[in-house]
Amino acid sequence: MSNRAASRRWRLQPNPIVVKELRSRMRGGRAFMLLTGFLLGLGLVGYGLFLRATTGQNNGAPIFSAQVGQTLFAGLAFMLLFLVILIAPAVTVGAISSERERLTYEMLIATNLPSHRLLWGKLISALSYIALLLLAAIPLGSIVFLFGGITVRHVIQAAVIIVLSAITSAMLGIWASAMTGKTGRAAVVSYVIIGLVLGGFLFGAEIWTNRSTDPVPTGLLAPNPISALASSLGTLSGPNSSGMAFEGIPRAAGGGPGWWPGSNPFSNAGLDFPGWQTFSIGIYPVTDQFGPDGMPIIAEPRSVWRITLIILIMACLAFFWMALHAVKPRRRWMPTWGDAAMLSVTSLSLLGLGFWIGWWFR
Amino acid sequence: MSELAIQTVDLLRRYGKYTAVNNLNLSITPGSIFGFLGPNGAGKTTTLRMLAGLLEPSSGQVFLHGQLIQKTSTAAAIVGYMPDFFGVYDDLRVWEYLDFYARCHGIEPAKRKSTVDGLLDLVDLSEKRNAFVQHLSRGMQQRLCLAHALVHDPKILLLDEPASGLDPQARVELRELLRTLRDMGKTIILSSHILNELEDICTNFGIMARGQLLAQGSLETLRQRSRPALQIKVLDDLERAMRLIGAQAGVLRVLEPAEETPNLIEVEFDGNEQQAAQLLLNLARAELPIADFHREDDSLERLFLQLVNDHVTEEQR
Ligand SMILES: Nc1ncnc2c1ncn2[C@@H]1O[C@H](COP(=O)(O)OP(=O)(O)O)[C@@H](O)[C@H]1O
Ligand SMILES: [Mg+2]
Repeated sequence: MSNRAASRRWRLQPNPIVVKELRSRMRGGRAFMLLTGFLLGLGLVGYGLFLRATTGQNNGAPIFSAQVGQTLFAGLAFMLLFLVILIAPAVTVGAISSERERLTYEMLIATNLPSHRLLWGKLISALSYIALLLLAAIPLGSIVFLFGGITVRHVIQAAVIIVLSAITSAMLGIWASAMTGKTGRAAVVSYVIIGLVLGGFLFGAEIWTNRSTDPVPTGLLAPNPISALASSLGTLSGPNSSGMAFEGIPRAAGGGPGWWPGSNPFSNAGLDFPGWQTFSIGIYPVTDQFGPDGMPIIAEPRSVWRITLIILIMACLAFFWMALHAVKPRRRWMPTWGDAAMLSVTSLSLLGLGFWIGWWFR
Repeated sequence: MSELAIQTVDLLRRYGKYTAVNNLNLSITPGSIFGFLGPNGAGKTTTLRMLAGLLEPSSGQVFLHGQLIQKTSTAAAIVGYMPDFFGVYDDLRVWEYLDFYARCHGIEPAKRKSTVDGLLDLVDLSEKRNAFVQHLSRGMQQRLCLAHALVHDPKILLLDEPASGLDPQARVELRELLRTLRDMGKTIILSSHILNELEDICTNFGIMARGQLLAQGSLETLRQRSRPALQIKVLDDLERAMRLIGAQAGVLRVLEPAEETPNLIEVEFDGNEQQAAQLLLNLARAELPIADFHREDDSLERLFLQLVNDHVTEEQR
């Protein structure tokens, strides 16, 4: 049979790996226990954030429902981001190496299944489980809408950042699994890289702000999904001085008690969840403008998240490409013309897409 | 060339500096059951993996039915491969296991079920259809693994040590199965380091040691190469006995007794019966305590040991 005919036939069928993984993964209670634990944890964190956001009321300060909504939303978004970034590799570090370890790898490779379908199947089955987690979180997350204070745009941006981070993180696990061939080693490699990217860049930005008055270079912010999410959430607008109306009033972050300059009644409220000041290091440009109350007026946060998305997509492709070569019994690292063509097509289409929607609606 | 099911041309594979397979030239005709013999570490697994397209030769070529193998997928379509050590997806059911490999080979949904059922029937696992793979016995898992290699109806079957770890009953069943497969027109290559496992089912043999193919052919052609031998069991005074034997007419070589049979002297002997009788007489006259004296049959095992021995002495020289 010709390869072409075979691949045409395959395209019509579900990926065999996905079928197999779903048959065995969803069997037994483990998957559902993890799901329950995940939702319980998310619920508890949400409730904790709610309590924290509403403590102002106990001191007699008025609280806007929107502020509660924003705090909850930001808190849950960060929580989800962390969870998917940490869970995704746990699901994928065994993707290739466990096949090697339980001596099923050769038999799998000795079938007609093309390597890209093997990797794709592993990725899809891992992501389908993570998607299950995220979908299950939607009902809980939609409580945020009861409080208001967020826009659909913010929800979409956060969702895109979280989902793409999950995919990249899963792809990182598969890559480590294929390269090392040992599940334990792959786990160490993946989590060290995740630690370096999440913590290392934040730490770098922190050091930069302590040492220099220049703005933190984009290179220290953009690779980090935390900075990306912070830069998106940072555009959540506070209430103006006249009360309930929300509009894009510049806000300070990490600037002591004055979160929303010019609206003193809410000075202690706003995006008030643990870690916000840490996460938004370097996201707000330095300013020399001050409001009437002496608080610094800080301009729009830098929207590094767009660059982050591009970096994540490129990282995914690079991981996929390397894993593709690593799973083949005959490893060859020389890029082919096909690889080069693929790379230029993706880069160009990403660029075009970016410009077409005006850098993705601001 | 297209007449051969398998042909290798100066196939060579190195691991670092170590040459595991050295200039192998195999020719295997379609429809034969080829027994690939050799002690552990001879390079059988390495060779089979190269035939299956899973390992890249350092040099040389593999042709399967005349087709040069350069990619795993080319070999995959022609070959069914069963590794020596294999694992199973134990959280799958037996039919799901075969169904998985059927999907991997891109077998159409309409044909999948009948393929799986046919194979379960062939390897006699139909009753275990819905059992979990982890609950099968070793012999059943071996048969299931063999079935997986047949999913895409390959022309060539590569079985690496298929009989190892099986009890005698399971071996008999395996033999039956192999005969059935041969009758289906498949070319089968099986490797083993235990000789009598293979003797009665294989039509052809290849004997390998230290990465080199020492001989190949049918049992008859191989037997012509084997030298007849005598086995003499001497209870005492071995030194004197060996010296005496070495001086007799018709004796080519006296081998040192093996460790596990310290009293058994093996003698390569091409003399006639008269000379054999004279040898025994001389030993008796020398008052050596002879417990056993017989002509060794020309079994595969003997030939094998001779070839390997010759090869080793040659290398030492
Ligand atoms: N991946 C490997 N790396 C290094 N040496 C290997 C590897 N695989 C096999 N060898 C060596 O190659 C030789 C032949 O091995 P193998 O083909 O497994 O022999 P057999 O199957 O006949 O027992 C052995 O000496 C073994 O140690
Ligand atoms: Mg072996």
